[in-house]
Amino acid sequence: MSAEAVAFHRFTKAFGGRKAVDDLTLSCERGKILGMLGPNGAGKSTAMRGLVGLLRPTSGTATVFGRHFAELRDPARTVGVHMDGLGFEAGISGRRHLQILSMAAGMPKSRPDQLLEIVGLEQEGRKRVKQYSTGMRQRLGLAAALVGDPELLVLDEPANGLDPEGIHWLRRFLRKERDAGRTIVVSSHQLGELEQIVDDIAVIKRSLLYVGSLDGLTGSGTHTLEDRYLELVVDTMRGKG
Amino acid sequence: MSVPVRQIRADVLKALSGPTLLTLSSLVIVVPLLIVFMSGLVDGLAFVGSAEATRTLLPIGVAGSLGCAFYGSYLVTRDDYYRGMERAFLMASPRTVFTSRVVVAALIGLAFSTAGFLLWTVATAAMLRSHDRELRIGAEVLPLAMGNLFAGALAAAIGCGIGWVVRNYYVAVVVLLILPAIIAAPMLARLRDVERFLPVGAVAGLGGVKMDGLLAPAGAGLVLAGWTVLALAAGWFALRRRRQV
Repeated sequence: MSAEAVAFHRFTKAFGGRKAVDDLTLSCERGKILGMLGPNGAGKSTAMRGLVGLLRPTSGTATVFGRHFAELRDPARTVGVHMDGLGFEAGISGRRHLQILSMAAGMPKSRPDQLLEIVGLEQEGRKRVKQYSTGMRQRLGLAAALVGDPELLVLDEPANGLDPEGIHWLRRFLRKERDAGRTIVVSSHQLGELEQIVDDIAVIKRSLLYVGSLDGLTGSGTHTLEDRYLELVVDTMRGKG
Repeated sequence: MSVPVRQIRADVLKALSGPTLLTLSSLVIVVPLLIVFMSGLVDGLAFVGSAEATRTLLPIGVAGSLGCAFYGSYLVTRDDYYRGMERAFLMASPRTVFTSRVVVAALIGLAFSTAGFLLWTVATAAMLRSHDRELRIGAEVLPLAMGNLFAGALAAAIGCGIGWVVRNYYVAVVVLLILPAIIAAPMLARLRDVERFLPVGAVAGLGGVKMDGLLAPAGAGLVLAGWTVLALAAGWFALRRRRQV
């Protein structure tokens, strides 16, 4: 089995004539948290969608545990995904959503209640999703990603819509999942938060600007992630100018 | 348990979840009622005997298949409306998701048409009683019931195929509920030679509707099966094309 949980190899995706992601090559080892950073429109979500088979690359490959997503025999048990564009039917309760997903993933009947407890929604499980706040929907999305107890979590902007308490909770959640042996690929604009949880960083602006350890980027704490990120992104803009 | 079986179980649970189930399932009885009252069929009951009146009214229940078709499409369009379809593709392959929805549509169609036939029999008895007639059913009710069930299951599968093609809930309303009412119904009255080979005419033939020129149930069943294959093929190709992105 592949030592890399996630690998992009010369991954390129163009929409019409415009390249959203260009020649991306990076990987993430098992059991680590990889933070994907980049300005809006940098191609982070496109790369993540390509990784989980929701779009096809124009060229190159994206694999999970050495395989294309479409080749996974039981995808729900291998990869859990939370990203914008994965909605919930408003008239159905959060618990029922998790029951449906749990059944599709072949998990025991107790799984929905376990998940509601993990994401702190045990009191709200029987409410319809239309009664949920944005933060509660984010938590339900994370529960849905965990439903098949997958080895890999792919989370695109999971902190969106969370209040400070929610962001604090998310940080603890991600650490706990990593400590449980899961590999996590997470994108976020919350640089301060990412700095506290990630092992490795990939900075993308259509193509790869940096990939490596967080310590390597920040000089083991000599610089902040925000300073180094801004230098990388601004340098690219100057280079283009 | 295999991924396809798990997916089917999950899709059955989803099909039975949500506040729209009761509203949409009521179409299996509302559509036949509308046809009976708008066509004036009920006024003619006073001029025929109980057996003839039963033979006229009872087969109209097969029109509830339109409700089955619409619910079949809803199994797909609800996910498009609530942006939930991609979540399904993260749980299983597109082939599994497609097959599961079709199987569940047929099962739901079978359940709806069974309930619809029973309810319509009760409604028929009530309408007959209000015209001093009584429900007269004998052995001929069995092929009638079988025709209803078969029509419901196939109509739901056709609806599911159309759902994959159009994806949009409101477009499905137009294609599966409005167009049959404004095109197929008049054609059934004036262009029966053509309409009997179209889905609505085939459903009427399969349900044993008392109307000259319709195909016999066996022939109508074959025609409807052909439309089902066509709708599912169109749905599958639409999904494949969309997944090339």
